[in-house]
Amino acid sequence: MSRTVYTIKPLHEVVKNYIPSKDVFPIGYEEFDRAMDGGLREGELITVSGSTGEGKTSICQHFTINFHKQTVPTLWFTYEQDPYYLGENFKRLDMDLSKLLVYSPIELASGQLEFIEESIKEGVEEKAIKVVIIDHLHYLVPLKASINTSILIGSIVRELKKIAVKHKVIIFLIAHTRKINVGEELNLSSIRDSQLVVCESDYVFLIERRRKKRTAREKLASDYITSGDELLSQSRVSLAKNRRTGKILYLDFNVRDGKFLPITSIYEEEKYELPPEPKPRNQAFSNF
Amino acid sequence: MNYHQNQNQEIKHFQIFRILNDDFGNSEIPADRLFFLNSIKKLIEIGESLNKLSPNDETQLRIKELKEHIKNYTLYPKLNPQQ
Repeated sequence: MSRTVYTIKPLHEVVKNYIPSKDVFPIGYEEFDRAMDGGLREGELITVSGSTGEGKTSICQHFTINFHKQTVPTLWFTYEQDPYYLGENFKRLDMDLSKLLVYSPIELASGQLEFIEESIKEGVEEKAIKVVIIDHLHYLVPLKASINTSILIGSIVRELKKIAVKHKVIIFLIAHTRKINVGEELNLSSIRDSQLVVCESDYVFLIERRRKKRTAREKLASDYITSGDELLSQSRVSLAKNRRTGKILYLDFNVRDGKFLPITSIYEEEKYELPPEPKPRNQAFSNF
Repeated sequence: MNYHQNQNQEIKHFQIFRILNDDFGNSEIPADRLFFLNSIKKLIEIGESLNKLSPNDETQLRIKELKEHIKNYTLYPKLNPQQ
């Protein structure tokens, strides 16, 4: 008996349903945008991580302002701070809140994914939302979860990725790092709880305050509270994972009153270095 | 629907289009532009239903114009850098 409904088709026909949008949304920092082949695209998930108080929310606010300048609206799920203070922070960055293309749920009813997806759906259908920022990941994890937290977090991030694809939005997910030891460099394995967060993300940005190493003499001379390395008013933002081009790099910023001012030097690090060109065969033999 | 009723509908639709375009279509706010885009799609739907009931060259032309108008319409307009 022959089938009347088919669920498979030749690939060349199926691909027609999956043609990606040509729209690219730059995050507003030329070097990062270049590394991401012009900027972000619909359906992408970006993790922003760093230790507490190092500027994760601030850099996301800067991304938001850059999207606003391109008339691209952002939906913020601000669990960590009250929407009032988020608004105050935007004002401090010289933004007129009444004109800023930023939306927020009236009430952050819960950290459940159903609520988040419903809000995103409303945002897309009514306000043309294209960017979503969730501050932060651990508010989406039920405290009474009885299963392995790491697997639970991994599944939450996977669901967020699916939501991004389904509703054609770009989701920024802020995530804390585990405890970083003194002198330890921030890297992808610093993200708290789950390596799956990194695996599911298309891009990972890491942010850390720059520190100046103190000599033993300087440490002794200072009071006990500040006896560690000296914190500078500079932050380093690294693009530590880049699924699109593989190119990773970092930029340093001067931070003044919460404003991130890029320092002109660019530091690039090619992930995949090309091997040196081999000598022509006859030339190699000519050495003998 | 007779010819005059059809023509009246068209005039109304054209007026609706002008109001929508002035108030929402030229706005810089994506939510307004989305409302405009959805409204135009609705107008096209209505126009096509009308045209099915009583085929009319003028209606077809209007539908074509509306489709043309939203073909390259973007929700996120590029602003002048000075703005």
